[in-house]
Amino acid sequence: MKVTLESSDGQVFTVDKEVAELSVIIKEMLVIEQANQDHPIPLLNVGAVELAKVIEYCEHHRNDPTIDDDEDYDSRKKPIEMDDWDKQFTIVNKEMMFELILAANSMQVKPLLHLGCRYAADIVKRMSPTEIRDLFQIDDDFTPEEQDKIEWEKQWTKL
Amino acid sequence: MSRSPIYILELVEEIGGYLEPADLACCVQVCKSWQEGFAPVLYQHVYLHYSPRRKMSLWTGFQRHGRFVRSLFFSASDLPDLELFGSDCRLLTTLTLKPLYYVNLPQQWSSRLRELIDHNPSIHTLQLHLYKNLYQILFHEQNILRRMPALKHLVIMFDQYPYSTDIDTYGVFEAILECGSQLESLTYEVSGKRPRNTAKVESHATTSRVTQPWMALSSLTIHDQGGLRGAELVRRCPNVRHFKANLDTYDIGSALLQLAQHHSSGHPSCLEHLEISSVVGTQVLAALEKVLKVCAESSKLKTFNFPSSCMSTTMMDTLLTYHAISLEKLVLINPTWADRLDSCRLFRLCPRLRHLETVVWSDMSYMQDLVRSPWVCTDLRFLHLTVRQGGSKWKWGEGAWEWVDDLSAATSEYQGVPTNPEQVMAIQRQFWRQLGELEKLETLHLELKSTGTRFGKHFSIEHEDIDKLGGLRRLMELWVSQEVDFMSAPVKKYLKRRIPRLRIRFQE
Repeated sequence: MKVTLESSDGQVFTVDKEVAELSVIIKEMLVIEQANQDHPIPLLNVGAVELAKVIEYCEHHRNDPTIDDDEDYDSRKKPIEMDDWDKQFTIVNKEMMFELILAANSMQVKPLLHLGCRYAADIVKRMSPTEIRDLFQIDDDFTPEEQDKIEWEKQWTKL
Repeated sequence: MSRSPIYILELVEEIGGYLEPADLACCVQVCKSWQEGFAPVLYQHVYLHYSPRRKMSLWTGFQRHGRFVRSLFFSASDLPDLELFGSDCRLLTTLTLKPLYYVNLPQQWSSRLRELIDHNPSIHTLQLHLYKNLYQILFHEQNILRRMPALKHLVIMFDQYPYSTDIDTYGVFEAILECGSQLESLTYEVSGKRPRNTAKVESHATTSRVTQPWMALSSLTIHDQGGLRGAELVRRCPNVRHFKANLDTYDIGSALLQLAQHHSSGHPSCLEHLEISSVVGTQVLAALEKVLKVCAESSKLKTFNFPSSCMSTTMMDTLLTYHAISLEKLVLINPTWADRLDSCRLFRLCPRLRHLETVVWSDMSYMQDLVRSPWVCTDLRFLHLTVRQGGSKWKWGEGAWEWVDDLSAATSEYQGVPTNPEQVMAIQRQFWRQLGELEKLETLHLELKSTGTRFGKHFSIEHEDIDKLGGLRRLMELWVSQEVDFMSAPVKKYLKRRIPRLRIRFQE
């Protein structure tokens, strides 16, 4: 069975129902609006470019077993296990990746969300605050006194 | 960066979850909005090791971020006043207290702890390392546990054996008994052994007293060599799923019988994880066998941890007959265990086995047995092998210890064992190759224990043996014993190159 999805800028995508159902939000919508499937499902927060990418991801992972979040809580400490396809998929610039994370978040595509967040965490790992600021073009809005305070505070977490 | 996941709270939490505290500490220094996003993650778990007097400025930090702190580990000589923690620190769920030294002002310590606990009614996990002069104050004068409505997980550890003096009357155990029905897990650990010349203390609660069973308690860990507390606790807990005990002989025997007793008196056994240390005695073994048989009627064991030299082939048979299908973790590490583990049979019968710790013998008869049969279990994730060299050892048999001086003389299996160095090397090489077939292995511990030189051929791993080991793509940790280093530097280097994320560690 097919489902149609409409991006925020009005583009319509037709996908298999089981692919679309990787999104928790769409799955729930389909249950509620069973009778009303002729109309495309509007995704107000997701642009066409991102939606295409999300669909690409879901197509590839359509047959994955569903991961129980609670059961696998230790997995986040392990090194990221991505297959080659996932690695290719994440070769995009960070702005695109962040848009994807936001799209995955609003559509609740959990595995893509985890993948994206790990990607984001990997970017800032072992970077100094200055390096992070340079990378994301963020202005340092702390006064020197505030900066000193933070220096002190971070000592009482186990470093 | 107008649209960034960094500004969505749930995403920051998720991203923060993949970061170490050191990385998080950098993130909070980036800018104000990052600080706002990452500070709650950074300050969720706080470890305080300082003497608060010296580091006053740390406390201003605590006051600013106390509302984020959920889990607090505190190790210092004195506990600060509630004011220092700040009034915002009221959402703690986990509290671990480990006084650094002998506590100087126990009264003050106690009253401050009470204040902190009263201020944080949501604490569900309390871990206390107790010092002598704290027992009475915390438990006898006023049972602090009664002030904790949400308490579900309790860990009490004593720094030394408490029963040598009248500390016994301080009633820590009684205090635990009072609040037991609300607990889901309980750990009661007394380190050290009972000093000589002190009478064994019988349990405070007489066995005749009728109490409500603690239906919620599913995990019980007790380490106490001094009385009947093990049996006393088990008697109250019919729904134990995880039982870990290090008790004296009489106590463990009664505790095990009590487990079986629950099953026959209308509480079907829930036992899944069984860990028993230091057991000597035929009666205890009989009780353990009974537990294995009786509990199997309603629950199958996932863990069997019995690092005792009393482990026998009979016990192994019982275990495999009743629990092979569910067994995931098996620990039989006592190197004085005389009987040999039939690994081939073990792997054949236990399809779910993921974790194995055991002893193998480097003598050729045993090695030959190992490599002759395909003993590999391709699903194994964790393997700890203690490789023993030497032939003599203590053996438990017929209810007493006997010294078997030379195993080769004592057994007839040793006839036809290869002695030619080339054959010996070939067998060892085969052994390493078989390890290389455990393709899902994540952790490998190799420990070499030497007790004699009867089988003088050194157990070693050579460069040409490791080709297969280098193919273990999932291997993340390799532990090597330092007592006898059987792995040369080039071998380690080669393995590091083949498996880049492998960490090679040394065991003291």
